[in-house]
Amino acid sequence: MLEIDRLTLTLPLGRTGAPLPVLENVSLAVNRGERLGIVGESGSGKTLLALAILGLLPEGARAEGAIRFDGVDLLRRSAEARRAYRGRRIGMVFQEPMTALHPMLTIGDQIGEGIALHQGLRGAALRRAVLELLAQVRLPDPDRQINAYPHALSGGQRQRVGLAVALSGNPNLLIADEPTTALDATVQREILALLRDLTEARGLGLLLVSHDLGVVAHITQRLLVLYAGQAVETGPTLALLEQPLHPYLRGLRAAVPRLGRALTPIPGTLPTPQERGPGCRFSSRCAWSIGPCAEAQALRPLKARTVACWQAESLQACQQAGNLQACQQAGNLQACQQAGGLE
Amino acid sequence: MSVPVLDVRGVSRLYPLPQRTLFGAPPSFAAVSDISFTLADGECLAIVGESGCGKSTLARLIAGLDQPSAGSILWGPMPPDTVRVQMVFQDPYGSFNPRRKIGWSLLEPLHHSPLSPAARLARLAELLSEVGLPADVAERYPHQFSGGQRQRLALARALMPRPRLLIADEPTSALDLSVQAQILALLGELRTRHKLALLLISHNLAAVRAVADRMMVMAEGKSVEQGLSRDILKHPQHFITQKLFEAELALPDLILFS
Amino acid sequence: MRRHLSLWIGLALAGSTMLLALLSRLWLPADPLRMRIPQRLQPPFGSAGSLGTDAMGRDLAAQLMVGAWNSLSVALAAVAVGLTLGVALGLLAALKRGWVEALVLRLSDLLFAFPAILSAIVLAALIGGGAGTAVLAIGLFNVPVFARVTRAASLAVLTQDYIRAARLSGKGRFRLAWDHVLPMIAGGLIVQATIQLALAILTEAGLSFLGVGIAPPNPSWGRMLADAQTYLTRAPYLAVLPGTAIALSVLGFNLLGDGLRDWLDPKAGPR
Repeated sequence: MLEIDRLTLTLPLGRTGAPLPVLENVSLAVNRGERLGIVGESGSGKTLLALAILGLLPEGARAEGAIRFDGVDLLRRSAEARRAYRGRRIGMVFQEPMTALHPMLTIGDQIGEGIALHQGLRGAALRRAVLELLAQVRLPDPDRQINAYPHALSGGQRQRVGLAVALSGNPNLLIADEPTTALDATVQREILALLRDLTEARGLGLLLVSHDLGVVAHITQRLLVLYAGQAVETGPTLALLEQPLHPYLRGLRAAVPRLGRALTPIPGTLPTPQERGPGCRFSSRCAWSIGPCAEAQALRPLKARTVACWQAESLQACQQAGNLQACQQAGNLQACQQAGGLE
Repeated sequence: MSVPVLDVRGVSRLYPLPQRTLFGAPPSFAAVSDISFTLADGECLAIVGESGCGKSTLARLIAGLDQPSAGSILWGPMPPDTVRVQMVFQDPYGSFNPRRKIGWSLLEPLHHSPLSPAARLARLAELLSEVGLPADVAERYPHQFSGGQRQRLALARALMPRPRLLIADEPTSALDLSVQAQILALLGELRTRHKLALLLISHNLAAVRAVADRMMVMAEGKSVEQGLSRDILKHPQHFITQKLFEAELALPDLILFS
Repeated sequence: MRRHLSLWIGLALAGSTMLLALLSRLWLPADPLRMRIPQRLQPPFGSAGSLGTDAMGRDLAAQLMVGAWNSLSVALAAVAVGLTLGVALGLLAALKRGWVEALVLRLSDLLFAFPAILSAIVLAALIGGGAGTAVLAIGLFNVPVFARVTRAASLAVLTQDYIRAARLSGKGRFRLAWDHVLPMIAGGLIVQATIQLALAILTEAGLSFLGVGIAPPNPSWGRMLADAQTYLTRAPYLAVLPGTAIALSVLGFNLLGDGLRDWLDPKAGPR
């Protein structure tokens, strides 16, 4: 349904305003009923990717490549034509639903607006449709809440309403940008379950953007890991999280605190677009960095996934050998070979 | 057993609600209700609970930014040249006055101190290097830093006047995952080096796991469970604690770590 | 340039008013008070002089320039009075809260209920008219405006975490106000002061028109308008000239204020 083909995005940045790439050669695909997670830190380009699909890029942005929705390249369409896709074909759920909801309109009016626009319903039929949608997003007491204003709702309820607004145009694809980051853990779990059930019941595609591995692990089937504007690893979510083959994802995975284990943060910081060189962008923070890392490595298939790392085979071999830390301490590659992993 | 740095006894904080009836006492809402605990030198207590459970109000009471309606907050003896308490806040973007240079903000906690200007600058440079930032950042403005860097700066500012207790109110919840780990590791490191007692306010069990010795679970202003964090994390007793733990989204265990 | 159009137009208009006022202290085309009856009621760009003469034969260009100085100095002094008292009261209200805040707010409401023109007439009846009365009346009217703006902006600043950090540093209320609150709200106050200046020029013109403003024979725009009434059909330019001066300078300061607001805080957008 949605297919992004080698999308490169440049933005004028910094004092000089020189155009710098914030996303490079990112490709992905989401089919009906499929849930894809996009993981990355602030500055990785994950939110811009979502905005590019919606055609809501900031002024001065230039996009190359293709964003195809049901075969139509949205980048080649006029702004007018793209607006028709927002809401009706592609729905968006935001991190803070308050920013997406109008404070002076009742939630019934806001959800009804989309339904009226896209399905042409009026009066009692419209009210029934709104109530049905509110029931679908499991908002408690919809008969009363339909007349409530957004400020009267809790954070979790607002996100349910935000979801109902996103669904009001009956879209085929839902883009959710950090939809649960502002919520408590128990509410977060409920909203994620709701997202999963809705995508299954309606056959929706879901693009879930998050920095939280726990969130994407919970409901997505496939994962795309972004680092400094490039995809570094893609594949089935569980396989990626259980056995990350890119050192960045491995580092992220190890940075989640666990009981009785010393915290192992990734040293250093994400390079800004100005600081990015030609080679592997993670190499300055990477314990596995070797000579070839000065050259960029493209995504290549490995073990039912794709990964952009010269060392991926070594990591995989070491994981099979079951003694990654020992390998690494002994000076990785050679040690790994001795551990018997490399073909 | 060392002398406690902090002894909190039966502390409550009530907020008046609008009067509903013409006569009678106005109703009130107990944001914090009858909380007691002690904190020993160098110990870390985590206070865990969902938003609205009263943990941030409790933090403000202990910091002296708000006065308890009942109960007492007692402090142990203070060595010379130390202060009782400093704080690190959740939002790294609201923690610094945007119009002031970082150096100005970091020196602010010393404005009552007898230290000479040269000694203040030396302390500033020392703490900046401890939080892993170069000394020249003092000349920059807050907007020039990332969220993680600002939390490092907030830690440096909090340590300037040599506090005995550091209160960290959700210090990592606004940060990216990999940055969270860096800040938590730094917090652990600084705590050991400066022999700080630490009160970690968090809804993030992962953060608690990484640094806390003891924990207290709060709900609706009350303490529902207190104990060693190791025990509670393994065998939560109260159903609220259990609910909190169940909600956490666990990651699949890495084969290579097991 | 286009993005800050109102700032530039405002700056040009308000700037030329101020320049004219300053210039009047150094150089005048003629003595504004010297009457030359034979040359009375000369139209602008005629034989008598640049902008003509009034019913007493006084030079209009010179009167307008001195009028600019008089109007602006009354307006500036009045806004300064309002700003000083208002900011002090507003800060006090925001820092102390409780009954102090309630008192300041009620006092503001009370002062606000009396328009400047009305209080000036009352004051003039009590202590006599003149520039001092005008400054006092307009200044008092400005106090609640600045008190409210200061209180609202300060309350927003006071909820920030860096205020908590400063309190933990042991800083008292007034130190907080000086170190943190005032620098943060200064931009908004400058914008408000510019807009109040426009209003003050208008009010001063109104007071002088009614005869309780700047004392004759010292020229002022308002009184020039009042004097023009008698000759409105014979010499309309007598009203048009000061009227245009008032309109352009008020417009100028208003645009300057709006422009400054957009420039200082691009996010707020045009009102």
